[in-house]
Amino acid sequence: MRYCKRCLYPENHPWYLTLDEEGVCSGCRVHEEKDVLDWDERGNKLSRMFESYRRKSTGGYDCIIPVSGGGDSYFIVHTAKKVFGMHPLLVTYNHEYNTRIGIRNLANLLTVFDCDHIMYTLNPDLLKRLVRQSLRRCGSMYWHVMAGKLTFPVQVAVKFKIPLIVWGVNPWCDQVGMFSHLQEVEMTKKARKEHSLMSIDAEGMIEEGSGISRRDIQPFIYPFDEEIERVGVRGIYLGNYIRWDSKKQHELMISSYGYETAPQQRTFNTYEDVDCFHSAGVHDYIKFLKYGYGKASDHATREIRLKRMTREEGIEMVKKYDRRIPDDLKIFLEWLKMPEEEFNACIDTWRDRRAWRKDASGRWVLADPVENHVNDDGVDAVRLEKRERCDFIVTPSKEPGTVEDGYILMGRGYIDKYNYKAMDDNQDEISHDIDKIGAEIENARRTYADNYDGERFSLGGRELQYCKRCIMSSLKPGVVLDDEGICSACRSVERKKKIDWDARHKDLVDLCDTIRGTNGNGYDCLVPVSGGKDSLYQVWVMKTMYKMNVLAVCVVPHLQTREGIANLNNLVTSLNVDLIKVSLQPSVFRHLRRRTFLEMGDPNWVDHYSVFAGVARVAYMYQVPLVVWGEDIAVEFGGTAPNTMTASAEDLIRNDLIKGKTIEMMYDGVVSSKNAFFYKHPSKDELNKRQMCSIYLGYHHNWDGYKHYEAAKKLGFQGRRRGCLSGNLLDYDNIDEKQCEIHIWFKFLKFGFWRPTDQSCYHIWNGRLAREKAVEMVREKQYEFPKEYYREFLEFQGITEKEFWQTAERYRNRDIWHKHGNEWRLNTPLA
Amino acid sequence: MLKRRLIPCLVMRDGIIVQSFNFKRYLPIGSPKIVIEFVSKWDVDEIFLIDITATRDGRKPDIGLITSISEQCFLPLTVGGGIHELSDIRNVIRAGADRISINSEALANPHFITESSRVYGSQCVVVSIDVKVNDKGKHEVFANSGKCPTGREPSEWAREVEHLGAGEIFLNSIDRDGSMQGYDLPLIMAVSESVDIPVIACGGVGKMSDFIDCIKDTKASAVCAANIFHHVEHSTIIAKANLKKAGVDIRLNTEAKYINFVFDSYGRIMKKDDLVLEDIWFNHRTVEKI
Repeated sequence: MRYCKRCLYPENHPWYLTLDEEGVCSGCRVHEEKDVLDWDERGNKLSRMFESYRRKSTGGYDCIIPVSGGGDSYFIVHTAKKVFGMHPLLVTYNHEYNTRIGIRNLANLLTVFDCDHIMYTLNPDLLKRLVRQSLRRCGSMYWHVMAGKLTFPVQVAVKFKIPLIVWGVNPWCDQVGMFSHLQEVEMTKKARKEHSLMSIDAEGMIEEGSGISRRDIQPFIYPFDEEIERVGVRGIYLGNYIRWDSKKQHELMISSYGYETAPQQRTFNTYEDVDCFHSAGVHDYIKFLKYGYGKASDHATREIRLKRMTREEGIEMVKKYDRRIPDDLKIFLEWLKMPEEEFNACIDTWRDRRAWRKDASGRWVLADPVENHVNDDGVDAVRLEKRERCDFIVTPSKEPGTVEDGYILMGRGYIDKYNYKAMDDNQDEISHDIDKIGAEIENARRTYADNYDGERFSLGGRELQYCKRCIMSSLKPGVVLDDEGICSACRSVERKKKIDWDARHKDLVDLCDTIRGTNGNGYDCLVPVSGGKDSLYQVWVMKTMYKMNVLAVCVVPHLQTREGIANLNNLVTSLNVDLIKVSLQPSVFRHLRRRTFLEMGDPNWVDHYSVFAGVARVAYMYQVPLVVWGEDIAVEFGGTAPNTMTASAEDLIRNDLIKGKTIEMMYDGVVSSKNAFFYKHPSKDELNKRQMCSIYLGYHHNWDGYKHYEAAKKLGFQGRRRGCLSGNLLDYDNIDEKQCEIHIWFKFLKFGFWRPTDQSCYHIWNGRLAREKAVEMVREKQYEFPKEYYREFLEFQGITEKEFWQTAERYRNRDIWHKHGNEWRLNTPLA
Repeated sequence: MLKRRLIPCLVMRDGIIVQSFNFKRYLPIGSPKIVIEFVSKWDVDEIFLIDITATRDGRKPDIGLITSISEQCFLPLTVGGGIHELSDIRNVIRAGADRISINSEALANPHFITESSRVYGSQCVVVSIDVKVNDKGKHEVFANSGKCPTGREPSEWAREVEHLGAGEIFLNSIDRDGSMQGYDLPLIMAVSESVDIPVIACGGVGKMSDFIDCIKDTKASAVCAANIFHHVEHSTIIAKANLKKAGVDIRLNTEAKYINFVFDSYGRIMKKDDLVLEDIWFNHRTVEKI
């Protein structure tokens, strides 16, 4: 084996090397450019390029940045957004070998860089089949990781019509010197196929008996040439314009943004590979078994070229790490359900005979490892002078004491001082201190609310009455009590009983039959999900009952609970569905919440609005012909238009939760057309032109949230671990996130009812609860304050306790409340 | 007049495609099969595959490789490198190549040109000429991958090979190779003026407008380049789109045509107008099973 006389690369490098007459490899030669090029001029070039891609007239994104949460993705976003002021859409293909530290780094990235983000998670069953196939076809457990990473951003570029993709360093340029920096090489499908996908493109994975079909590999299919052309997609590499020094860049990210690092199994480099269980573990071990060298060689080579390591020191590192058998193999094989012997036999067939041979006893040994080449002739002649030390920082863990013991499918996507763990939240501590917290809150209320003497909310003097059949408040928007004192929701329940559900089910069967397959190999229908009981039911129904190819879409809340995270993960794994998770730029979202809270006493307006608009936006961009919403809240809970039950959900964005406001009305100094992409609902015209429709499943199926809960439990749905929240009668209602409780509690101030009334009415309507019992339970619960998430509410919105309590008092309906001693009480007690 | 042609030149060294710089430095690109798989879909008029180490190593052309390439590539394929005998030509043509290119053997044994064109027809015989500016500042033909000066003047040698029966001349500039400074136009002008057979110009393309200059300023019948086609997506299509935009009559039949694009000073595409982007809607293209 010939090795480069300067670095540690062998001539059997799978990306190929050329060695020149001095025995120096092409990678080292191209690397020399780093010390001679005028990087200021190249930076200017980048600046001009970015400038030309900035959106001007219509808003929207300037570019796409693929992110993994690894340090390079921090640096790319830092450069594009903080240095050059670009407005990127961040995209992630979820490789699903996630570690906790990787989840935390990604969540931190989304928080500190404050961008919109979409993540594509494929059903894990498909990934397992693909991994088995790729192990067989090319001896790789990483094929899907590379294919997803290099395909999803391009698919998004085409679908969302964002023509620029910004990558970090060109790996082929950096390792083997495939291109000169001066050539400003761009992303190509060809290099992707040959050097990242080991010459097997997605279509090549289809094989009879392998369980991989054309539809399965759709997420890995590169857009057609004419699609790339129509949008004019280009992928540029920052490494051509910025003098790339991964170690220094990571260190800047550690000090500036709190990037976390951790020791790795098979390399001294603690900065990269932390997001993946196997990148510096089994995956790298496979590379070693194939080519006779591993990551330690890659990383040492880089440090040698950057003059921080001598060739001899590098070889010591290789000796230390290359032969190490990683302990993540067990986790991988358990996940894959593959016996170790089968794995070993498979990998052995991929050993490069230039690097490996069998010894007399039949064991594989390295034919000619780099340690035999320490003193090769000519090494000194081409030696670079070592100029710096090479120490890698290990940061303290942000979640000390946790063990990385298995993959995390998805975790937190936003962090604050209460919610910073990969999966878990702070509710154990909160439960422990709940009385103390309650006392503190009561204290604050007295301090700031008792002396409130400003305007109070009023519905024009209307007094609070209760429905005689259920216990709904007559002040609920849209609810009317009729002559008999029965509310419109109860009347709606009566009407529901007379509906011919079989006929309506048949209608949906017919609709699905006309739609199924019209989207080519793409998704037939889109189901908005939260991970809650209803979304689990919706996906299950559309998949199994209507045989549709479902894409689940979640506009994910920033403050997810641990149960919310677990339930969303469970939805993907138990139903084997693909999921697109959209998370919205925190500053914009926070600003809208703060504004609607202070101005309307309605902090969750934007939550509703962004789900309705964001889901429709994704459906539109993905050209999915059918969107299946759950229940029509107006029908199910009584609303402004209870008589007009319709199948079509196209008016969703105008329902009671939205109060006739549009995002355009909210544009101000912070929110603008530029950063409101996912808030912009496609117009009716646009949807009609594309023949896209959206429906309520509740129109076709007799909706019953409780039954969905029962069914969901069997599929792994979990209720709140710490039991019911304050004021709640149920432990499974709206438990996925933390911002809703206070929003709902504001209904109590305005309309005289909140969670306990909603929850017991639902059971009354469905014949599971007697009115008397409900009255008793609600009277006991309704004066509780939602203490559990109070601090996070203040923190997220950035409001003071004073602002909170003054706002609360402002929205306390003066016509229905009176003060009794120190306590506020409803004028008309529930009876 | 015939349409001008665009030809990617694939330089093969030790079995892999490389980028070449002044016939001295080489950067690895990858396997010839994969390069050709992509380039052949990008509407080029012909492919030039040159094995630059066959003669050095005393190897014959890699017949297995040529066979597997010609099975997947339906374009005219010209193969060079290691061709010294008539039997080499026969094997290469049988393996599926359409034409052969000879360089060292033509210089060492000019009669071989005559012999091969007599047997296989002049349309099959391309003579490749590597030119360097010598110490005296004059163009001179070099042999052995640019290592040995021959004392020959390029136009004279071109006339001679034409006379000997060559069907076409592949003219490369060693100084410009990989330089990104553009073609050596005086050289191309001189050689293409002095012969009646077609001349393929190569060496030095750094931006798409270099093709335009060569077509407009010289009588070269085809423009050829190597490195630049490895740098961006759909490189050969974009090259042709640049040519079309400049009014050059050239064939372009791919689905993606890059017709309504504005190009930057390198000839790379620029961003479309925001409103145009907003309006794009894709119709589903079903993949037909063959």
